[in-house]
Amino acid sequence: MTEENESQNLDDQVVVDCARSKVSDLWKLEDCWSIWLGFLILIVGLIIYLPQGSEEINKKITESNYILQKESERAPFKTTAWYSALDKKAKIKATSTEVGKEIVKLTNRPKKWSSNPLDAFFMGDEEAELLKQSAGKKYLEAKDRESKALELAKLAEDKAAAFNFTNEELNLKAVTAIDNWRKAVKNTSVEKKKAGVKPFNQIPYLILSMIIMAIIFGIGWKIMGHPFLKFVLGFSFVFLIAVLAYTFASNSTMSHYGIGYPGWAILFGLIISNTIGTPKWVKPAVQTEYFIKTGLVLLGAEILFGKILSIGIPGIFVAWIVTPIVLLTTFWFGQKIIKIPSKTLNITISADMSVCGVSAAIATAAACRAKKEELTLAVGMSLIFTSIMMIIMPAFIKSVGIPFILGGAWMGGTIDATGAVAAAGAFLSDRALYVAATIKMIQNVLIGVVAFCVALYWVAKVDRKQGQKVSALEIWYRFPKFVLGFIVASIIFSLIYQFLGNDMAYVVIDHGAIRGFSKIFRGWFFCLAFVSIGLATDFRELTSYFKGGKPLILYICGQTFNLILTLIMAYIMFYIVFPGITASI
Amino acid sequence: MKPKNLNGRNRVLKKIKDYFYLLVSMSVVTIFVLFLAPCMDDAPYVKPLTNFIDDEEINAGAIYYSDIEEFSIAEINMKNTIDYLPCFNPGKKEEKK
Repeated sequence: MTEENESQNLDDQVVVDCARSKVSDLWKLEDCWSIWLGFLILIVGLIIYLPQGSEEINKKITESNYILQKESERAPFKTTAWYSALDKKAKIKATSTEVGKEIVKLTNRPKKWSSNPLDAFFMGDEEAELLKQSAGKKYLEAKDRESKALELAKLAEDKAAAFNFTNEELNLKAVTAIDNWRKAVKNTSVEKKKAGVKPFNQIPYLILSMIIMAIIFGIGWKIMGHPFLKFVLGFSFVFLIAVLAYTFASNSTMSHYGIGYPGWAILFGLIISNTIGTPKWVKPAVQTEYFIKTGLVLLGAEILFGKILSIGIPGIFVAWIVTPIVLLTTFWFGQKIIKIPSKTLNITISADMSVCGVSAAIATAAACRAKKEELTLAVGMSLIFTSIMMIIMPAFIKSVGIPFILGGAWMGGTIDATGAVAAAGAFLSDRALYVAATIKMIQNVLIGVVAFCVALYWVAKVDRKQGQKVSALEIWYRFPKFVLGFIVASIIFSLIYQFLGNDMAYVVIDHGAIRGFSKIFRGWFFCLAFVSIGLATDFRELTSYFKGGKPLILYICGQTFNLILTLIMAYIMFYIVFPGITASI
Repeated sequence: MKPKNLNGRNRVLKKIKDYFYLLVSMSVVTIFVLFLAPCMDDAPYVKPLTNFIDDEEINAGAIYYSDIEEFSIAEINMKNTIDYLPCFNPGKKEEKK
């Protein structure tokens, strides 16, 4: 319990504070409010989207599964009918309903822009019509190419079928023709999106989002015993900086280098706090812990344990065996060899680099109560190295002649940022993307376990005095309670996912309660948290963490080990132990 | 961070200096985003990848799998590949005959 008194002075420094166990904690402590607010948003999302799983949708899924089963028994490769059934299944999403579209529209962020930042907020009817016309022409051309590619693919498939798929040469020709058709399908889909451009005005929706979030957080703030109006006033400024962060992140150049909103949010916060200083009236709303913890509870719902099996055993080995080995080895290396003074900085960087970048850094930093400067440093290094690796790795893989599936697995397990993995994987090939993305997604799920274990280790071992034995009750008192909310959200949503079955859960949970609701708020809350970190950080304190370059050395050494081990494990799993799965991807 | 006990004139000068630094910082960031960074796009190793990302509209800055559509596509493809793995064996069909 002494931690709470000591942490009172460290409140502004650490990412998370600890909770005590009294009944009044349930409505007085930030940890608990983050759980209530997070659960409220998750429940609303479920109420909106679960009923979308109708009998009609079930019927469509069953029909597609029947065709997939039939086709998998008919040919030794994925046929055009197999892919068509899959495409039909993939299009069934709760976010495609009227309700889903409306929610996405209301909660939309600044859009992509290249030279005029106002394009992020407004597009007039004339401009939309001009873009639609030019994109529409390209869409029709792409559609035409797709039909022709489909005809050729069906022809090649029929020729192979005429020989009962016993002729290897004809089978290979059919697979190649089908691959070409799939590329054309993807191209059509991209052009269709561009042709569907509509005029927009984001300002009213952004104001509405600000009001909703101010009320959500403000009510909790008020019940915790703090002034509501002062919070809401300060919140408007923090929100404005968050909008600015999203705006710069959506710039086309920054977007393709993978420099996302976390970096911009911290940067703009730092600029303000280290020039004119964070205004006094804003400070009541500079609540990093409050925003981050609530965001983490929402993130918990996206940690679905069923996804671990998405790619089968090879993926589990690459993501769940290699990652913990790299994490623990890097942490040990940082403690014993490099001798980084701060354990929390060490574990945050180690998790950031070995698991999945910014999201892992947030969860780990919160679990071990790292300082804001430490999280800032970890996030900054991750963003820089992600951009570098995203550019270099695909070029290296192509130049050396590494098979694309192996390359995809390698990138998925090593490039920090999830978006950069998708970009680098897709750049190689669709198959590389599938493997890279799935491995990264399995690593994303690992965040839950890492955060829980780090929180437990810190409370039981690190934070105790030398010689002190910590009882189970004491561990409970000190354990950051929001981590429980994070884990409970994960367990509940994982159970709902399993209960509904993968196909229906894809429709109403993946593309419903999560992508259509909770993840929108999660993104905003993390952005608000990073803005708050920037607004509360002194740049001089931040630079002191660079001393000796130890964090950079740790990152580079850990990432080098990660690159070597991941490549070896991926090769063994995908090419020696499970070549059958690799051949069928 | 603001030094205390400044007289009125010094306070005003300090404030002007602070706003000046703010303006310079934001200008540097804007120049980097609008002018310097786009110049890197033409580098030979960078151009193919950046053009690809722009054409495909991939959100390369996403921090979690649910932020990015490509992950959903990848997952459904992989899952259905594992669940409905093409397993046709021409030998078996000839045996039945």
